Amino acid sequence: MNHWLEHIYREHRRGLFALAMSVVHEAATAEDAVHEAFARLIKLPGPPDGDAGAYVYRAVRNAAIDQIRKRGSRAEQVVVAESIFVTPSDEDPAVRAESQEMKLMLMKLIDDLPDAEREVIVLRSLAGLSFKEVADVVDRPVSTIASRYRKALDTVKRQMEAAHART
Amino acid sequence: MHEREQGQLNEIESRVKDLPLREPSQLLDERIASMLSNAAQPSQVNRPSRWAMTAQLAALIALIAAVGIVLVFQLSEPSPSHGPVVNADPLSADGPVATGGQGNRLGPSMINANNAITPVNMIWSRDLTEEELSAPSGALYRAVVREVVDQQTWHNPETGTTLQINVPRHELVVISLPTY
Repeated sequence: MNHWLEHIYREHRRGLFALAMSVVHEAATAEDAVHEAFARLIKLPGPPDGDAGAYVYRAVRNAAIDQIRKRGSRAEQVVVAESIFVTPSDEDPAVRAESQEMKLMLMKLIDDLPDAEREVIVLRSLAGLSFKEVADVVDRPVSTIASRYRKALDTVKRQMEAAHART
Repeated sequence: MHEREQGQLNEIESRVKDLPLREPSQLLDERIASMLSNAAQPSQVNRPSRWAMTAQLAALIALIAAVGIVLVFQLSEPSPSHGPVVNADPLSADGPVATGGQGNRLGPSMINANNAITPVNMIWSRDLTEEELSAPSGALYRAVVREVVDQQTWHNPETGTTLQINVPRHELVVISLPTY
């Protein structure tokens, strides 16, 4: 009955988790969001019409937003944002290869992007969704998504150039 | 856009695609697998027709009301050392039948041998909040508020009716942490 959900989770578990992380910034809360989304999706009689993958991503996004709302309704608490990437183990900076430094810088720049732009980067570049699918997930026109995506890459590019200019 | 600029953006896009995404934990994989597996089970239960279930539900409500009246009546009388046991098929249209014997505090709906009753199972749980506490003695504890759903299944093999009750609850779990 839920083979379609099993298949989607198997294919997209990292992308779904990354999307949730990009919204809530915490691994444990992100996992709760993914779990909550699937708990809702399981009640469907079968796969939805249209793009099932985009539908699931959208459910995860909505569940992640709900987690933030829940967090906001409790007493004030400090959330230490976690990266959506696996950071390489610490090495002697003098020995670390330049490519590693570039990777770390890129990860940091993406983690620091505004939420709306980071979300599009995660869905398009990292989860591999098309612009149309990303537009379905975040419920925005395709032109807006394409514009956000380009702006995000442009921001990253300019910040990397500025960092190189300083060294 | 200049070709050179577009080329630079393409290069950054290519680098971004190669970045290592964080993996979800094995625990999440197990939670999802367990949920999908549990969701597959109810489809295997044979459900009686809707009208049969409605009639049986009405009978159950009438029985509970009747038992309530009987219990109120008995409580108002001096109770003997060995009170009657109400033992009835909760899905039967007949009322509860007193069988005598030793006092039994269980409700009538749960003690009929014709009905197979499963133990209460915890089918789902998740940790809502978690924080560390320290006692004046210096001992450390981790306090976790956990949301749990308990499920009990009750099946009457004669009529084929299955009643499944899910009861959510919260529990506070305090775990002692080692100190060195």
